[in-house]
Amino acid sequence: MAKLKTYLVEDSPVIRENLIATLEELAPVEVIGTADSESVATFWLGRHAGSIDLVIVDIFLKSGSGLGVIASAHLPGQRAKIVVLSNYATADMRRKCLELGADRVFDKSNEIDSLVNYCIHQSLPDGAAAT
Amino acid sequence: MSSAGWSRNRHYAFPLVALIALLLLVISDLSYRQAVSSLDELGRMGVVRVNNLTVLRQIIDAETGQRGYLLTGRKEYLEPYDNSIREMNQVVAQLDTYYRNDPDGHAQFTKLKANLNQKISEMQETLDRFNEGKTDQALQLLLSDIGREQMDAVRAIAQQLIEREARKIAVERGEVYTTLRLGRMGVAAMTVLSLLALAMYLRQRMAIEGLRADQQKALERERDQLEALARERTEQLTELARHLQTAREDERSRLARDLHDELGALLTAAKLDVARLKSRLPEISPEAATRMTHLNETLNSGIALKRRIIEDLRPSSLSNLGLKAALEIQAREFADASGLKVETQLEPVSLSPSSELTVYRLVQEAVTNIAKYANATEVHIRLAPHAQGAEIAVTDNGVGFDTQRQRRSSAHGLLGMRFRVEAEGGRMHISSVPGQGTRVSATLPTAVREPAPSLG
Repeated sequence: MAKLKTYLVEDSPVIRENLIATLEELAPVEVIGTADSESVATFWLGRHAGSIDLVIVDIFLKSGSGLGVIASAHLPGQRAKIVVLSNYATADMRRKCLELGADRVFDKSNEIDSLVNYCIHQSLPDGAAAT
Repeated sequence: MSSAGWSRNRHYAFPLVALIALLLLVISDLSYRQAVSSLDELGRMGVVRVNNLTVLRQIIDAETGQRGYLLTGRKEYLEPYDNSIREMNQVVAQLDTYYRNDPDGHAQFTKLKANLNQKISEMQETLDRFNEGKTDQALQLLLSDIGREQMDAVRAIAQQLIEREARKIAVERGEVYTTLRLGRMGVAAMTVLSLLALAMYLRQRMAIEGLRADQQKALERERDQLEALARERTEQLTELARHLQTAREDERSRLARDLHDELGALLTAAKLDVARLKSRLPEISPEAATRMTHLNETLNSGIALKRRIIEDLRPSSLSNLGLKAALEIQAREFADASGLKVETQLEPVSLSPSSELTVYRLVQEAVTNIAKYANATEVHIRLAPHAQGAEIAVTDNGVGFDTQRQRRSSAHGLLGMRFRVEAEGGRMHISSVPGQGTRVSATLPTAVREPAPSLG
């Protein structure tokens, strides 16, 4: 079971550390890079197009917005799944994120389990092939 | 000082002029009466003079008649004599009345009367002797100088009386002339005084007009100063309100950020720990599993509370999704919470971030008021581009209110909103009629400011 190469865009160091630990413990995930702002994330994603499987994005960032990150990650050449993990997962925000190209939107507080399950599902060969 | 003194003089000027005018009137009237009585006196004097002449003529006529009779002995000559004596007596009686009030004249007149009586008795004596036939005695009496002397005396005294009257007439005429001169002077003086009073009056009027103009100017100056002061104060207050508003929004924003970043991170970290623990559920006791489920619920409640507080402090939708979307969300949330029918008609507009926040807060305030007081069933929110900016309007079909007598609690909110709108350079308008709903609207200009720092 190959680990999902994951890029994490999250500005809070506390969440970043805990989230990496949690995901790597509970799901076949390897976080290969992080960013805390839109510009850094966009730049990194531009350089590493095609080499990652999953992008986890928070909406509120130190500077810029996760929405911009979604847009840049959704460009042609990016095969990674885009997942939004936000404290602001209202219906409108979900719709907006999906419009911009996100694959799923998870609530940071209530849907950690769903995110873990999604990651497990993505790492399965047939699940990956299905999408 | 001098002008005050002058004005005091002016104060007395009119009574003085009036007094002088009254005096002149009295003098004029007195001189008129004087003139009238003088003229009456002159008339009487004329009569007296003529009477004296008449007495003289009658006595001469009587003497002539007597002599004619004595010469001819014809009775018809006696008739003029008798007539003359009778008429003379009448005139003498009149003169007697006149001279009774004139002691000086009376003495002379008495002398005249005595001489007349002597003359008459001398003539009568002569006639009596002639009638008795004593012609010689009568002739002798006639030829004697007695009659002539008496006649001369009468003539002299009468002449004196006549001259005396003439002198008195001259004096009286002199008085009339004096009186007339006095009247003439009075009229001239009155004319001069009138002109003087008119001049003073005009001067006073001009002074009053000048004073009034000065006062008017002073009042206008004062009003302008007050207006400028009021304008300045209003500007200061607006500036202060704007500053406080900005400070408040900044504070709220900072608080929301802290809550989101710090508290949010901690809660999420706790949740992540719970997730990790849950994966080892089989390893822990059922009781610990129950406690963990409870912990998870507690964390969820804390997260929900934090979210509500943050959203209340700062509409994250506004910075993330823009004004139009934020208002749509607000409208939908309000409709869900209140159960009212909310219609939106929102067009994209271009506003500064602070103006967008003002629009958002205005809608928030308006719908809060509607929920509290309006008792409405429908709410209409409209956002549209305006001449130099945007117009926002929130209309309801509720009970409305008298805009002159607003409820206090809502009035403060609306007043604060008005300040806020005006601080953004906009204008707010509230129209409401009891029973016919309320419309809160505002126009805000498109401000050219630096782009808003994005919320992270």
